[in-house]
Amino acid sequence: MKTIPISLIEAAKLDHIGHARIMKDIVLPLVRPAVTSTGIWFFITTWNEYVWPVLILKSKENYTLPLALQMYISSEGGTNFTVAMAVSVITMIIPLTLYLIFQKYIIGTFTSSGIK
Amino acid sequence: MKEIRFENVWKSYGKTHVVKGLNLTIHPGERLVLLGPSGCGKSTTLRMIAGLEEITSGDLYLNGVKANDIPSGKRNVAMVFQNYALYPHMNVVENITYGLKVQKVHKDEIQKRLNAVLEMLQLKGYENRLPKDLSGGQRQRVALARAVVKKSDFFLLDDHYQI
Repeated sequence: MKTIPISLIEAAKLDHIGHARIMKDIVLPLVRPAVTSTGIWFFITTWNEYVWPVLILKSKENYTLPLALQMYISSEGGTNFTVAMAVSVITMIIPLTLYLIFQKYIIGTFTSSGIK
Repeated sequence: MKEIRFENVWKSYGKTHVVKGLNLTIHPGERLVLLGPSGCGKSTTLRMIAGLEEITSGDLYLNGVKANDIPSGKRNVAMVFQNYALYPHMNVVENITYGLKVQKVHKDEIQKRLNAVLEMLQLKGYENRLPKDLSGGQRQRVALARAVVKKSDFFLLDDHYQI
C-alpha cells in the first residue's frame, strides 16, 4: 500500500470522497495483485509443508498430500512409481488451478501507470 | 464571488520557511501564474488552497469565507496534479466521472458534462482506455478533463505541462 502514490488519495479527497470509499474503490483494487500473489504464495508454502505435519500428525488417515506422496516413494511401502506419479499430479491440481485463475494478478501489476 | 485571498500566510516545515507572509488576492475571472525556481513554494501554495497542506499561520479566504480549517473536499476546488494522479485501474470515462458518481450527480448531467469535456479535450475514441494505454499528452488531457468536469469555483494546475 505504501507504493500507491499519495496524489491518488489526494485527488479522491478533493472530490470529497470518504476514507472508506477511497479504500474500497482505489486502494484495494490497486493492491489486489500483491495481496493475491502473497496469498497464493502462502497457500503453496503451506500446501507443500512437510516437516510440521509429519511432526504433529499421528494417524495416517490425516496425512496431507505431500506426506501421502512420501509414503509411495519411501521404502516403507516399497516404491510404486505409477501411484506416486498419480499422487504427484493430484497434489499439483489445486495449486495449479489457483495459479491459472489468478495468474493475471501474479504476472501483471500496474499500480504506477496512472502517473507520469 | 469566486475569490481567493491570502492574508499573511506562512508555511513552515520545522525551521524551514517555505511560504513567508504571503499576501495575495486573486479576483474573480483572474488567471494567475506562479513562476519561480524549484522549492520556492509554488506547489505548496496551491496545495494550501486545495486544503492538502495545513497553513502554519495566517488566513486563507475562499469566496470571502475563512478556509483554513475547511476540509479539501468541501472547498469546491479542482486540481490537476504534477503527476496527473489518474486512477490506473479505471478507464478514461471512469476517471473523469468517478467524483461525480460518488457525489451522486444525476446520470444525465454526468453524461452531458462528460460529452462536453471529451469533445473539448479531443478525447473521443479513447473512452475505454486505461491510463497505461494512453500517451503522455492524452493522460494530461484526461487529468484536465477530470478537473474541468467538476465545474469547481477554482482550478489549480500544478505544473501539469511539465514533461
